Order: sequence, then C-alpha cells, then structure tokens
Amino acid sequence: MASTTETKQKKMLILKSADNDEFEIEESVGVQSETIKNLVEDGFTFVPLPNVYTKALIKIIDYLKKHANKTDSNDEEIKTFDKDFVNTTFDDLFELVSAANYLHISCLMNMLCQTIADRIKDKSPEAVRKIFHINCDYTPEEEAKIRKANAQAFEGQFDESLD
Amino acid sequence: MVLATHMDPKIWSRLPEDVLEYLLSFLPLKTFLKLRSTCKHFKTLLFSPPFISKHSPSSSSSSSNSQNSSPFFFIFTCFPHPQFPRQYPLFDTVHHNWRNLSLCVSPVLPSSSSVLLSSSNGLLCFTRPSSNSFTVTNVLARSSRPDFVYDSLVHSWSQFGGFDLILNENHHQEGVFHDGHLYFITPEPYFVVCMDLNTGEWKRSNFELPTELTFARLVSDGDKKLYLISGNGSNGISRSMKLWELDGNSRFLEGLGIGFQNALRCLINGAVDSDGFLCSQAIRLCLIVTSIGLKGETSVLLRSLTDSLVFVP
Repeated sequence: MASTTETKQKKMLILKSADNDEFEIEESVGVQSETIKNLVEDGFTFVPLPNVYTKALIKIIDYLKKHANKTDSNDEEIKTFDKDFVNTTFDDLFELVSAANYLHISCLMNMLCQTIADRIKDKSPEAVRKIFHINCDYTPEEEAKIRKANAQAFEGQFDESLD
Repeated sequence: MVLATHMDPKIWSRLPEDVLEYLLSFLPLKTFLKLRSTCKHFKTLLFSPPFISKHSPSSSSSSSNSQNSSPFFFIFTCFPHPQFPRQYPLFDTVHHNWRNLSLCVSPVLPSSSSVLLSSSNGLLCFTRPSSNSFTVTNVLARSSRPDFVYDSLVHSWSQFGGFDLILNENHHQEGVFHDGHLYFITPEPYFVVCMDLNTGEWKRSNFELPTELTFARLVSDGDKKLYLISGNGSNGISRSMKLWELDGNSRFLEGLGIGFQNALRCLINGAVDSDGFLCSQAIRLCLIVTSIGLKGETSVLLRSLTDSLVFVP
C-alpha cells in the first residue's frame, strides 16, 4: 500500500503557535500528534495551536522530525537526542508536558512524565513544593502530625535541590 | 517550617489536574507516600480511587461483592495500562462502572509478554507468544488450563498442537468466531487468518480485502456473517471508514456515519500509539469498543450498526 504514496508530492501543514508564529512541517511529521492527525483527517492544512507557545512548539517540532525519521540504524542517535531533549529546567518540562498532552503525543508524554518523576522522586516535600510552585496548605500542626505518622518513610536523605 | 507565601500556584492553571495526576502516577509508591505532606491536594490524590487501584496489589476482590447480581459480564480490555502490566480494567455491565482487577497470574503465565486475547464471563484467554498456544484462566478461581480449548457442544477440553506462527507477537486483537472458525486479522500487511476449531488447523483465508487500509477490525454477527470495519486512506491517515461484508469477495456495505467515525477514530488513534487496543465483540452486530486513553481514562462505545451511537463514559 506504500507504492502509490511515494509518487505523491509531500503534503505540508502549517502550525500556528499561541504567540502567532507559523511553522511549516510535513504532514507525515505532524501526524505523530493525534490532535494534528485528527485535524488533517478532517481536511485541515492550517492548524492553530492556541495552547502551545512558540518556545515549546519549536522543541516539539524538533522531536517530531527526529522521531519521524526513525530507522533501525539511528536508534542510538535518537536516544541521545531524547536525553538532550529532556535535559532542561522543570519549568520547561512542565511547559512541554502541557503541550504534549494537548497535542496527544503519547511517546513524548510518557518520556517527559518519566523524566520528571525520576527527577523528583528523591526530593523533599519542600523542594517538590518549590518545583511545582505549590503553596503548602497544611497548618504546621497538621504537617507535624503527618510527618510523625510518616516517620518511617521520611527516613533517609532528601534532596533539597531544585534542578 | 515557614509557609511559602510568595508562590503563585500558576502551575495548577497550566498543568491540568489530570495531567498532574498522570505525571505523579509515574512515581514509585514509596516516593508518593513521602510526598503526601507536600500539600493537601497530593494527599487527596493518594487516596483517590485511581491511585489506590493502581498501586494496591490486592484490590482484586472488588468483583466478589457483585457476584450475587449475576449474570455479570465483564469486558476486559485487551491491553493493560503500560505502567501496570498486571492491571486489567474491566467493565461491569450490570453496574455500568469500571473496576480494576489485578491479576495474580504470574505463576500461570510464565511470560510477561502473554497477551490477553479475549474474555467471556470471567474466563480470560491469553496467548503465549513463546509457545504459540492459548491459556484459559478463570480469574475468580485463579486456575488455568493451558493449551486447551473448551468445546461447549461436547463439553470437553481439546488440546491443539503447536500453532503456526501466523499471528505475530504484537497481535492484540481478539479472534472472531464465524462458521466454526476463529478468525483473526493480521497487522500490516493485512490478511485474514483463521483456525478451524474442529481440527486446530490454521490457514490463511482467501477473503479479498479492500486496498489502502489504515486499520482493520473483524466483527461477526455470531455465526452467519463476517464483517470488516476498515479505515481507508494512505500514510496511516484514515480518510474514511467503511463497513464490508466478507464472503468470497468483500462487498462494500456502507460508509460509517460521521459521528461513529469520529468516535471510532478517537478510540483507534488512542490505541495505536499507546500500544492500546480496540476490542470489538459482536452481539447481533452490536459493536463494543473499549479504550484506554492517553491519561488512563477509559471509555466504552456501544453501537449497534443499525441504531444510533451510545457512549458509556
């Protein structure tokens, strides 16, 4: 079934970010995103992405291009690329998770979530609060209580760093 | 401990709650317990049903309290959550809700690559890729009959010899019974294979399939007819979906309605990338499609091919 497709001209899509930058990519690259694929199947070639900012979109297009050219031989190359891709700040990772979720790119979504989970798994609750920008809504008494109840789990060392 | 006061909880507005929940489900349970003192929300998440069922190894008895309301039927998903390979969500059609069942099937299923093929009334049928054989497991009794197929006409188990390696190991679709044979459709390149339930012989059927398929699912109406639901297009992009009747030469019956197409497409799209599944079961040509979405949410679609679309959330 591939024979007829190769002769056709490459179809292109235009993606528009939340800050109004436009990017032209090949359809075959874009359809790795389920959200884009659904729009393509409905006949759209211009895809506005009001939830994805340019900064994240550039990274995600890089990712999609790289992964669209996956073959047996460049496995290592892609692994290196992925490793570099997630080597960034927590805020960037959250931005990317948000975008990957909106675009429904599950392999990227899983990779990002796994990365974040790996990076926060040894953190202290205080560090996690800062990383996630969460206010502690326990009263000091409540927190002391839950810590006491949790004494066993709090054994060992916590990582207080924020990177 | 000084309360953080200057922090704007902007992350909550950027990261939807279900995304955060999904993200946190990647954490080991121990870490998650440690982190429950982070904030009340985290603690609430810990005690939310999805977390308990995901992390609890012994939550399998949830089905027992519904036993008195027989008959209860389960539709098992064909593929468990990628992170929790021994968790099988199941749909209780009596109570119209989802339950989680964690199966202690490891002694029964030697290989972690055993794939759930089909289910019926609490019996699960797995394939064992290494030996190309089936295992039937009774989840309630925790017993299993490897390599046997039960013949309900003569009430006996028959053992079939080794199966030819016709279906590859990535095969997630359950077989469809039609005319004494169990039919399967292979992943690309698509062709239909069947096993004769009397002789246990596999053969490749001579059904001519339409060209330019993007996905293909078999549905049977029980015994008389075999249907194919297909996506048609190229490059893996479905431009339309069609229903075919398979006999000597496949006959085009109808293009499926837009509403049904969209629903089916969402389900299939969700299924392809996340190694999910789409299981169809024919009950008088009523199609049941179940799906686990990207974030672990589940949806069921029930559709009689003649009636309008019904969604069960």
